[in-house]
Amino acid sequence: MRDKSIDEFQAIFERASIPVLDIRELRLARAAVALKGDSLDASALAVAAYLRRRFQTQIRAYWSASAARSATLEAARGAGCDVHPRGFGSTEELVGQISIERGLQLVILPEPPDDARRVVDLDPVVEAAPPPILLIRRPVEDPSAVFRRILHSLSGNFRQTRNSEYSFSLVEDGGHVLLLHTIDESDLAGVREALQLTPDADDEDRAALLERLARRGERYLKAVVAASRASPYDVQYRLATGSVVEQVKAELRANPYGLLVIGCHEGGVSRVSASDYQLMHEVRDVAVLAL
Amino acid sequence: MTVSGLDLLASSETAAHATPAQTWIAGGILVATLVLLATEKVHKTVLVMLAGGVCLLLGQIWGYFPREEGHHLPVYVRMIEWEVIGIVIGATVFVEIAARSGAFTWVSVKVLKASRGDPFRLLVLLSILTAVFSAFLDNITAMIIIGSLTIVACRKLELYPKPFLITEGIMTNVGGLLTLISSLPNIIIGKAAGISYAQFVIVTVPYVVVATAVTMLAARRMFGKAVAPLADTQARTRNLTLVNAFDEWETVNDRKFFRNSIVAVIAVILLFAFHGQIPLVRDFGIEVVALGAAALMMLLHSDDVERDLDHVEWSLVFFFTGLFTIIGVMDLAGVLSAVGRLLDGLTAGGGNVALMWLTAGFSSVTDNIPLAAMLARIFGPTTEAAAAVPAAQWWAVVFGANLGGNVTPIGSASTVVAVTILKKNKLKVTFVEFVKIGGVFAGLQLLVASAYILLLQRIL
Repeated sequence: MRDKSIDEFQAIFERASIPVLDIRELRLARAAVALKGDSLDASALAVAAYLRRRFQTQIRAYWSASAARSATLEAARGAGCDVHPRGFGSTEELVGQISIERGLQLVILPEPPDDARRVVDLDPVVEAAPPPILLIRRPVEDPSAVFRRILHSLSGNFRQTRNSEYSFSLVEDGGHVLLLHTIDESDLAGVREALQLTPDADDEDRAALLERLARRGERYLKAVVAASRASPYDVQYRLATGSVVEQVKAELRANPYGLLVIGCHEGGVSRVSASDYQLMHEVRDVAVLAL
Repeated sequence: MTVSGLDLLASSETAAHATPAQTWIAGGILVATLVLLATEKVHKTVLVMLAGGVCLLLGQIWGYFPREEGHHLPVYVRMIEWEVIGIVIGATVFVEIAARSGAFTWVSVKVLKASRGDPFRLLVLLSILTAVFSAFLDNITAMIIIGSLTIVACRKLELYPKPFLITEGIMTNVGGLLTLISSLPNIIIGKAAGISYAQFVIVTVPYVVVATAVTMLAARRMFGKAVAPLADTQARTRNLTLVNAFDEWETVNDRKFFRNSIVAVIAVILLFAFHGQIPLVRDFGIEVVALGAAALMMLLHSDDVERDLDHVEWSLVFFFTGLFTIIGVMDLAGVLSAVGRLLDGLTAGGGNVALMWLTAGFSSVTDNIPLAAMLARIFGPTTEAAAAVPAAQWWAVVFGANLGGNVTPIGSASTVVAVTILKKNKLKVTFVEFVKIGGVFAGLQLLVASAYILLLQRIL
């Protein structure tokens, strides 16, 4: 009984605090680019070359039959990529090639918003590929501009907050990261899960739940900002309430961003919510990193 | 002062006078019980109930219990101090429900944030909070709440938790002196000496303030760098950020319940303090206040009364019933008078200060409740010397019984909990290591108490 009480109280105080956020910048050692033979292959390669220069990243190039017919593969070799010996003919084959590759930390995928001749279905790749996927949605002239202003959308869980490490690693020195934490009022089940509520909290009213979640979210954000304070880039946060999709779109309209970061990634598994899927498909003007 | 059933038994014309042989036999049973209690070979409740049964049997054989016409109340029922049991049951249920509201955890996190993450401020504030919680909660619950927070906070702040937990364990016993219901010896002695809740607080608060200050200074010196204030601005900023990341409201699930509990705790403290001045309430003891508050809390905020009643330490209630029975028979057998004379001899010359040190020494190795109950009966209203008992003598027993538990890790329930929390977090404290620290703290606290007893002798 006494032992049980000690455990219970320690759990209560752990919940009252936020976990220590040990956010370390990633060393981007291995990445890949998937070349599909479409209009954005060159932009994807430009981003890959930029990462290679900046992080000394080893880049693997996957390619489709239509990419092989164009000059893309030569361009990939010219950019210093290690071209895969076999091409992929379908989404499943691409996912298979990515999955057996060890140590991949990022896959760059050109994904024109209005691509009618789709070789690769986006959703299965994001769901099944172990590394995060960086979607190139429009032509990139200056790859560094993609990483100069980053909007990172957070919906509140601890894993996702830790994923700020991706934004902090990718942002240019002197760049800017905005952590946008949106509390979705319509997702009360998500609210309860995020707060790890016990069954005896059933009578707590909706407003009180949302208020608690907002306070918790803000504490996370402050801790993340505090953890990144010594870094050579600027990190701000904003707490919003309402629809995640609408808040993100409004922020993208209001300020010029090069990259939107969404979703949650841990231990080689991506967790992308319905809102994230919607953003992934509807945001067309900036690159999207689906964690 | 109320007259207990035992007073009636003792004054009954039919009660027999004990022979020397009976006194020796009964004394042997008392010593054997105390030794077995100290060894913890048998559960203390079972042991005391069995010993109580043997005592009742002997009392019946020796003709101590009068046959009464028209009364069929078992004799042991009248030996039991029901006021003490009423306080234990009422206060436990009341506090259990109030604690579930998150009121105590909320205050704990507030205090943590007030420390700004500075190690010495944290040590001082958590130690004071431990003392204050011990005054209103039972020592085990107080230690569990503060100890759990300490572990979590130290982990975040990268502090070594051992100095904090040991000091807190020791401060629960200092806090146990704050009010009449803060510890079981207080309740027993207070009842026997007729000390009111308010009188108790007035006498003990000055001591607790000085003892806390002395303990904090000693801890600062003893634990050195582990509890030193932060000198570096960057470290201060970092720690402030970390403690501010705690949210006290995360420990509260229902704000209405929380508010009601805060109001109820304050109301009950005021009722305890002023029950002697409130018409109607003053006709009852504070056990009625405790039981009434428990009933009201169950009515308003219990969704499972059976579960709440399960939190009553029934083993303690049965322990008391057995203990009071033993002490009742010991009194009738003349054992307590003999112990009283022995105490007079042992403390001759040293007076109340010697009595306090003797009580502390006994409490450091075994349960302080039997000792308090026995001394309450020895100095209490049924003994010949009752009228002559000076007030300072009661305080000597109170201070000794509470502070003696600080010497060893098994001397009190709260130090046992402190060591348990450390062990659960893979930090060992050996018996000798604890005695080296606890012995210094207890020694300093007892020295301050000695001076205070001498002062009380002059002014009371």
